[in-house]
Amino acid sequence: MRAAPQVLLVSHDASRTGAPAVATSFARWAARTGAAQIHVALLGGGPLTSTLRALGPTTVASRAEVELARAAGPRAHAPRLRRAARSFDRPPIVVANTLAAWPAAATVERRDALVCWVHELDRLADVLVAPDQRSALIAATDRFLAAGPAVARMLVERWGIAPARVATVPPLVEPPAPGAPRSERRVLGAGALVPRKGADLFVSVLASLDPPLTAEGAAWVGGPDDGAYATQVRSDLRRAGLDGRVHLVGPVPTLEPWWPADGVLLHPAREDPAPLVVAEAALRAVPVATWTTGGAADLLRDAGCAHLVAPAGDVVGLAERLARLLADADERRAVGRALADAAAPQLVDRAAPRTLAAIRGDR
Amino acid sequence: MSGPVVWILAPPLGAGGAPTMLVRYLRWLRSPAGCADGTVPEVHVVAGADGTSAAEVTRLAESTTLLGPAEGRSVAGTVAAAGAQLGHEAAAAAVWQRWARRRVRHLPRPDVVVVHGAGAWPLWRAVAPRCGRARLVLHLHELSVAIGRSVPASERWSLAAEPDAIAAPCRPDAGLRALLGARADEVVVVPECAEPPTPNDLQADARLVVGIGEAGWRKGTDRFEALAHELARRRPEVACQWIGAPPPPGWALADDDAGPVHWDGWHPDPWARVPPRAVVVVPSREDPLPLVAIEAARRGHAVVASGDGGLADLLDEGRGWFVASADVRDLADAAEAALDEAATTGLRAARLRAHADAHLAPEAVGPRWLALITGRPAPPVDPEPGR
Repeated sequence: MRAAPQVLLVSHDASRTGAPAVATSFARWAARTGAAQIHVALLGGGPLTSTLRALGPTTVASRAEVELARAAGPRAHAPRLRRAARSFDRPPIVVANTLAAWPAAATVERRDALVCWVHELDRLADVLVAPDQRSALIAATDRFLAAGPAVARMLVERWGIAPARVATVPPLVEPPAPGAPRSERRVLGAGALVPRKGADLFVSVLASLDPPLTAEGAAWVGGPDDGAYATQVRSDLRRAGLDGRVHLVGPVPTLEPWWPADGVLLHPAREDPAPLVVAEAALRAVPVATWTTGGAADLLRDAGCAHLVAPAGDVVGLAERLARLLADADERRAVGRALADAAAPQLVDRAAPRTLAAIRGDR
Repeated sequence: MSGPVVWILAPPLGAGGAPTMLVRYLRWLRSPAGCADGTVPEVHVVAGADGTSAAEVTRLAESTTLLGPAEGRSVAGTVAAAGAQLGHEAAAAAVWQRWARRRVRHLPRPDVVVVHGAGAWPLWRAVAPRCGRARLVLHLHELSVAIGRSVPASERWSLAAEPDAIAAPCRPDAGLRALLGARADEVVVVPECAEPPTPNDLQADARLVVGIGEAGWRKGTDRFEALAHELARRRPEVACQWIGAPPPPGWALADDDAGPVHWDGWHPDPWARVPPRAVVVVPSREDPLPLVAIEAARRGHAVVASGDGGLADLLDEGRGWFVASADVRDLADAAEAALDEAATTGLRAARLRAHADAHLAPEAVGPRWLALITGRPAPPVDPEPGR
């Protein structure tokens, strides 16, 4: 019998955002099934740290290491990552979970293979790894996992990586909790309160909604709710006269009670190749309206719902799609069912074996 | 006859509105009109960092002290930032403040200190012990959200409490009133200004909608893009162009190169790229009195605008189109009106130009600025603040 692969999973942090949440789901599945032996090395902390520690060996960068890395670069993480690699009885497969973790993961020399699990698209990718640093890292990397077709296109078409080295893997989504409470609000937005996730555009779309948002209102779930961007979003809400009807909820341990019982997920991210929240909505049969800025559009097209995808930046176009969904209960149910079917392969138990195969390089 | 010693504390001397205005005030001050009464202030500029406006400021001021490089941080800035990251904010701030005080110790003691924009308030906090009993003037160039980014919450009370005089380019809006409390009623309106335009030789184009500025939330670039989509549906023959630096990381839309906006990038003189009769849209969210609107006015462009601040007053009385609503369709209605109604558009643009020439030229604004910093009575002005 083939031995379970040994994987050193290097993640930039343990926040509740998409990529760390997907890595946590993968580690949970591996611990439950014994399909892989995983050691997690975090380059920064976050609320998922304790979950990861409960699943298996996990090391977290100290504050001093984080500061040193900020000043001196990813080599600051190397000694700890080297120790983590030595904890395996044979050289592990080193997986960089996101481009932010890639340069640090590449410093581990005792390895069977280096795999980069890419969750970013062009603009953020260029910020995290400057184009002039990229070629050396690409050469050092054995294979790439692309979090969705848009990322795979970036890797192959714009970064020039051979298609044989790129495997597209779906986000790993935990199954919905049965019987969870639902929200009366009609429109949900969710994601970190950072510009890339587009909470300000969420407000713009709601401000252009015709007919206007009803008294049940809308909510944006995610934090931090005390940063500069949150102030800008609040200012937009006030200017649009929506401050009484749109609730900025802040960070929460689970989205479960915020899913609308009879409403829509509005996903106006500026750039989001594989939004976990959209897959989670789909599995709950919550209809989604979005635009062409990443993986949400891919999922809607796969579900036969391309009519709910507006061109990027078309606020009125997105508001019109949202208004049509809100006005038509039959359409909401049909779209919800189609999305649930399309997202089913992303359930952890179905997607994680494919992800592990891609990590091992099985074709 | 020499006038008072004035320190102007300025934000980084980049290409933004506040440094540009500093250059314009200083240019006016060095002009024959600025020297008219013979008591010209001795102006020393202390700026947060170097930048594209620094050379001109250095030429115009008695001295210029730059506390950081155009890119990155000074050594003291790096030490302070690292200290703050490690949770020692107060000690880190003290290190940087001590260093900043050493950098200004060669300057003559000021009679007046002007904090030119809220971004320079941390400089005041640093150099205040060197300033004795100098008269303190806070000249805001921002509204409340931008002020909140420059001045920590624990410090905001001091914006109203410490200055001897407070000025802003427009009447205080609700956010500024909340910030300044009772002192909001004392705010002196000193508008921004624009110098006479240099005509370009482009062919007139009344089917073009132009936006200008550093892309991002404050300038409302996303609202411009949304407007362009709406106009593409209603008026496919209309072109939309944005001139300005690309947005900071995280603010750019994926796939927007495929959209209806022609992104023209940053140009040192954006107006060299704007043909006569193009409609200028200023979709700002929060901008007290955008220079783009004043410059467009002086060039005779029709202006369509939205946002908090002085734009509503600027475009009032049939001088343009101001949209209070956040619904993009309303902005598109106004832009369509400016594109379609040639006679009305021409009339509004002419009124706006006449207004700007009379009230928003350096020769009109300069004396008000000088009165602000010297504390002398201001010359008679338009009774409507911000207009």
